[in-house]
Amino acid sequence: MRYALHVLLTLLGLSISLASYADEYRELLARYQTALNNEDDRALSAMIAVDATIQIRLQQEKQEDLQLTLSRDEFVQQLRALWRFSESQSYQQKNTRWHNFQQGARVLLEQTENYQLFGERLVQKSEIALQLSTVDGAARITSIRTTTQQW
Amino acid sequence: MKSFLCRCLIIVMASFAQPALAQKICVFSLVGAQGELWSLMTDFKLAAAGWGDEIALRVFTDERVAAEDLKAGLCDGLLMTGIKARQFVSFSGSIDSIGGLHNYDSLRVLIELAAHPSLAASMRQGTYETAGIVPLGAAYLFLNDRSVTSVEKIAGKRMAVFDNDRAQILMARRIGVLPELSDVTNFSSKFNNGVVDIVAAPAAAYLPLELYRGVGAHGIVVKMPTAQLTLQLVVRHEQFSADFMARSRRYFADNVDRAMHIIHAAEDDILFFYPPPDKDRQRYTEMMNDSRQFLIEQGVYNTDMMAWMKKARCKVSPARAECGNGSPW
Repeated sequence: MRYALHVLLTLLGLSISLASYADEYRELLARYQTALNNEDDRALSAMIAVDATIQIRLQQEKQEDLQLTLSRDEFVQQLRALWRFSESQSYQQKNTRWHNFQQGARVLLEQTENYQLFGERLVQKSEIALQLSTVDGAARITSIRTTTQQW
Repeated sequence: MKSFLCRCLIIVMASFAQPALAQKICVFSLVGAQGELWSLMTDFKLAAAGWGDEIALRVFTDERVAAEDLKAGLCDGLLMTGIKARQFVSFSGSIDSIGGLHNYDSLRVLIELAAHPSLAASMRQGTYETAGIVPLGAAYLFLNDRSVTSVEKIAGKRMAVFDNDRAQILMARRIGVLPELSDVTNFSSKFNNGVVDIVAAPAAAYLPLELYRGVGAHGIVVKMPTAQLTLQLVVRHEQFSADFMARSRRYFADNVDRAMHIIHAAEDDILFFYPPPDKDRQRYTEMMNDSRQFLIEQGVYNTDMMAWMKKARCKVSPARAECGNGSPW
């Protein structure tokens, strides 16, 4: 009886723990999207683990894809520079899908950016995969992989 | 009475005597007598006054003219690019070598070495001596087309090369780019107007020379140093004491952090500032190493400095493959 109770309580604790992680990750994603829309590079930097892996695949018309690996600081610096030079920047995310809650969370989403840069009106569509994990007790983005087309 | 009058005359004449003439340090600055560089030099002037050395500063926006004035003795010293300084003192002027230093840590090590008394003799060549080194920032490749990022694809593109740097001209031929002879006053407009597809420049040039126009919405700035650029104070050594030289080199070495702060801020502004594509990274590193070896063999760089630079690279990054190969450079 006592043993069964122990097992029940353990399972209950685990499910509560998982549920709170899920909430934390969903909140993190919401904050990530808010930071992009507000062009808040500091908030963005705080959400991404310092040793996060960031890979960007730029699809180019009639050319081989360009695959780049950036550090967190390089990724945030590029957003900061883009926000400095561009005008009328807007982000739309859709088709968000969640996977693998037990080892953290993997989120897939589609993002469309519209902006004006050096006199050109540009559209950028990306397939983004974010890995969310708990680092030092806080939810963080530990991996970003994007496949991007620009025209 | 006569003796008294003579003494009075001497006293009166002494009161009209000219103060000791200040040494004239000329400063090459694209933006003239303003900005961070001019601020550094005015602080240097104050520091030198504290050592008992009076300095007058004169600014030049044309480096070529400034160098001619140094040769003519109209300047007692000149702060100029390391590339220009190479014709005066090849040892320190070789710091700006292509593929020479792979990061800022190795540059710091080298500037500290150059300020050490044991290298004082190497800092002198003929009439001239290098009295200070200031980091100007790594030179990066700016391209107007980010689909052209592999070493092989760069061949055939037009690249601005400085006509006063034999190294750039030789390297351009080696990697197959079409060199467009340029100088510091016109390379940026050639890039921004599409006359050339590629330039190499430090971040400090990005906003002032509007290189973002040349990169545009479809270009790239390759985040891999091709060289570490410097400004160097080269003086006519008979105009200055050995004590001044030592203090001056120490002063500039102690102000490396000040320069690096400016450099990092400038690099933070660059858009499309990406490391080489993953599959090209190794090839870029090989190209830099190969170019360095080739240019040493062509006699472009001072081999003593090349040896010291290898020591600096290996002190900072001992795992580099070259650090166990027994080669002097």
